[in-house]
Amino acid sequence: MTDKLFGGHYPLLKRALHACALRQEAIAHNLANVNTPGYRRVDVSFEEFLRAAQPSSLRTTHPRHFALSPSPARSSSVQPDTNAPMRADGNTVDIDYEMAQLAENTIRFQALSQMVSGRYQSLKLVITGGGR
Amino acid sequence: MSLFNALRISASGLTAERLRLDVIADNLANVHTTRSAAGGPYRRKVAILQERTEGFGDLLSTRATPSAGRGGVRVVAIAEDPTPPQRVYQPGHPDADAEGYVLMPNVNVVTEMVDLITATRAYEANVTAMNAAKQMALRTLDIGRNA
Repeated sequence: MTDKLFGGHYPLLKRALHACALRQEAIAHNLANVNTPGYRRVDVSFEEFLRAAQPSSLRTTHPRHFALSPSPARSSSVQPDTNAPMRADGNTVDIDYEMAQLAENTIRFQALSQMVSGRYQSLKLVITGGGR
Repeated sequence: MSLFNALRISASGLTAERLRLDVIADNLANVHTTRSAAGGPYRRKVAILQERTEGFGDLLSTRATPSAGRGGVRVVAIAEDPTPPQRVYQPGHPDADAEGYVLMPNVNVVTEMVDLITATRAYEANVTAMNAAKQMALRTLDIGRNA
């Protein structure tokens, strides 16, 4: 019963929100170290996050559909970046890129939290039978 | 809780950048100081920043919840610039040597101004990141509020 009510998209949205929060932490860490010599920026890998976001209940219904890989145990991971340094001191933080990431991450988080709110609202509508 | 970690990380960035600003202000204030406590002219000071890696408490919370496990930045030392002081010909100066040269601090105003701008911009970037984290945290409080 509770699986039906709180299953489905809830765990997915929860993971997505958590990944956003984790990415926020990574961006904050990069920005805090913007003047640290030799610092290599970290990133939350999106591909892994996307794979993890696919629930195991998703199945392909057509032989020509793309196959879904099994979701890993971890929902997202933090990895140091291997790009060439931005400055002579070896720091790889590009502040413009970080600010763009920050804006994107904030909006993504807001969209996700709105979706969670929306799902709770529909749940309430069902519980109250649609009337007052 | 990741979002509070993000706030703490941004706060560490703010602290470090403000300390850099303090050091730069100290350098600029002492640009003509010929006498210091250690003897000789004032020596330019540099704040040395280091990435803060996780302590035991952070390690514990990383084990409990998957987190970035990062602690922002910290100032490990305020070191003196080893470049030699400038020799300026000022025979009338009380601290001039027998040849009329005064040892002036190894502070270059232009370098300090550039450092000042980078520190200010980095501070602003950290403020923005902190506001974003705060906005996100407040947004989570709205989940289910009008449900």
